[in-house]
Amino acid sequence: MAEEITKEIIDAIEDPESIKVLATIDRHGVPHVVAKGTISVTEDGQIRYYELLESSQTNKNVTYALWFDRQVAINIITKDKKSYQIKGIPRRSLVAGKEYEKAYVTVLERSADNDLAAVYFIEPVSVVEESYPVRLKEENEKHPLYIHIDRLAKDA
Amino acid sequence: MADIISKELKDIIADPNTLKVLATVDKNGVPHVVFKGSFHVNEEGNLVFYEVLESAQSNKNLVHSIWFDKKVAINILSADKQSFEIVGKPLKSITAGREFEKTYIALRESKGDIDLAAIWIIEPEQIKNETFSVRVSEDEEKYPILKHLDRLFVQ
Amino acid sequence: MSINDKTKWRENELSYEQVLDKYPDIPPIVALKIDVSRRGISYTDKAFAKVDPNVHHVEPYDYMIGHGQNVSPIGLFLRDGSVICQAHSKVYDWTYRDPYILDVVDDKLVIVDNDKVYEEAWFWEKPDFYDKFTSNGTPMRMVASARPQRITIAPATKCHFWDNPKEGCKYCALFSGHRAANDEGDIRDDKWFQDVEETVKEAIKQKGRYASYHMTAGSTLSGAEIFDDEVDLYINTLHAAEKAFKVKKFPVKLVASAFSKKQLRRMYEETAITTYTTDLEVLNKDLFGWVCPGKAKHVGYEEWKQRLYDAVEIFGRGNVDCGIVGGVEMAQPNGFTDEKEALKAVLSEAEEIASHGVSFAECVWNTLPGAIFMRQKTPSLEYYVQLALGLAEVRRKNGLNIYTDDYRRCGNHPNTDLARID
Repeated sequence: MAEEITKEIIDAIEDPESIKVLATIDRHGVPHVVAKGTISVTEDGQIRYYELLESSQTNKNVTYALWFDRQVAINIITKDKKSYQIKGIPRRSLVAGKEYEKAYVTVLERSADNDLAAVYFIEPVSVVEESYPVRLKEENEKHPLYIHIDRLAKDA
Repeated sequence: MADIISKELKDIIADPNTLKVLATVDKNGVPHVVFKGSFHVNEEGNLVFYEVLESAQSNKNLVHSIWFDKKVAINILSADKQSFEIVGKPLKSITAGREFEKTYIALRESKGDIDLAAIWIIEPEQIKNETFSVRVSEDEEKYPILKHLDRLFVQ
Repeated sequence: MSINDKTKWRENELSYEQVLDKYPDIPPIVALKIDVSRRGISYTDKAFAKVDPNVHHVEPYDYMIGHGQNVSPIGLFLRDGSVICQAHSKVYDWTYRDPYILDVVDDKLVIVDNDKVYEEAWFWEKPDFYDKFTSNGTPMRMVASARPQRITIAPATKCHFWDNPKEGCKYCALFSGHRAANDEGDIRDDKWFQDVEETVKEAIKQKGRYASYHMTAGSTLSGAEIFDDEVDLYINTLHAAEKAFKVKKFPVKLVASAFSKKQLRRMYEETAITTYTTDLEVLNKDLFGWVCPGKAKHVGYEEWKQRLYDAVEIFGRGNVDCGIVGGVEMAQPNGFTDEKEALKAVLSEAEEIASHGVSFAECVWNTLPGAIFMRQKTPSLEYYVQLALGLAEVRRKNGLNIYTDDYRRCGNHPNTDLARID
């Protein structure tokens, strides 16, 4: 079942000043991570991204993930350093058709040098806030004894 | 292994406005990607970063990688949108000792009441320029006609 | 002549490489740690030449049984940040397997077997407090010891299970030597507790060095109720250490006798302690009676288990763990003769105990000089790998923590090392 992406995260994804990265794994288990400005969220809460380069390693890896029901991971970092990680399974790849063509025209409008290899739809499986203060609070609550004891010294 | 990170890339990594992101894989093959601001290059040309959260998934994944000789990937994103991907292997995890303590103290002096789980050293094996314009040029050169025909249409 | 020339041990069990092939889930570096713990490691002269007592943590290398002549670092680091709690191993005429070798290649310390280099290693560093003295003139290294990320205080150096002949635990060389010593016993007076307070205060000045305060000792049986005096000693020692801290509770690892519910409640309410460990040593009632006759006589296997379960009620699931001497279930003549049978029995019992919220910390049994079992033969590497993987799976299935005995806060348990990736 898909995990819900909140409005806060959607806003972060849509903010042009946010940086979005996509991590995938090849068939040998080697990770690959690149920035992908074309990541967005569909109305029904799926992650959509436009793969602009047919030959890209990401394209191969997302295909592999789609074939074998494997996960990919996306991280979005906002200008004020909030970070969210979404993991999901690619469910569909559009390489033709009206919807694809509409996307193609969109990417061409951004730059005439662009092409469009595919539109991928990724079903979110987990959504986690990775902002450091949030993670630190979680760690302190879940593992309060993960601490070097000099920090607890009377004169520390 | 030879120092394969160029001076230009080292300068980009050292720039405080550069974003550095680490991608690792867990024992079940699930990727994990997070930003790690502490990445830098040491004298031996290896990548180093400070894992401050013991329970971090990236920490567990790095342990798995060092145990089973698996690779990790780091992307370096400069302020002017250059992008480089470095694929490498965790070489060492420093969890105690003088070097650990020195880093622990320095981190606490600069960042406040913070802890340190490990210093990770990653040996780079392969570097690729993933800057979009560079990749587009590469594709143009390799596959000059691998494009939609409407882009080849003579007006 | 190698030991193998005499005993042919390499022909009787799977090699390290064969074990890795057969069990791809075991990280090679963890399997190596198990094997070094099992077989020991002997330093070459070149390796000894790398030892600097001003920098490295050294002890007389047979310090566990009293009065050694040479010094050896007491542990090694591996590149994944884990440790091997092993000093230089001597070879005796009864030694069954060749130890690994710690040598120097290209100016690096390396772990070698059969002329093959397996891993680089580093010596542990000496704690800053080691060369200091308390205001009473006591060397602080006599008050506390340390591992790379924990400080240890042993309030009692005698174990009174050894007071009666043959009642001590048969694998143990820690306390067996004290039977023979003419020591008066430990004097734990105000001066000593002051030494503890000063040593702990001094130790935690070394920033980043300690993630855990550890206390353990031999069993003290005396008191109105059995172990009451031991509880008092731990409470008083903790109260001395607590003066160094600004918080009521901090990471304390206590490895103690099987306290009753009343005693556990006292420990929990009156001190900083948050976790508790008591060791069943061997997960089989009949073998417990043979291997640990004193524990069996004074408490008993079922009661020891019950006390573990009682501890979970007070400390919570995953905050209580049980140490076992992995492999001792194969000691002869009364132990298992078949490794498959032994493993099945041990893991089944572990599953039962874990279902009550108790984790396990398994040590790799090494036959130590001075122990009653010193001439025994330990199981194969294959057995230990299966045991570590099996115990890790038991812990996972039951959703239990083990951070109090993990790679950083202890470092001596391959099964808890595996928790690093969970």
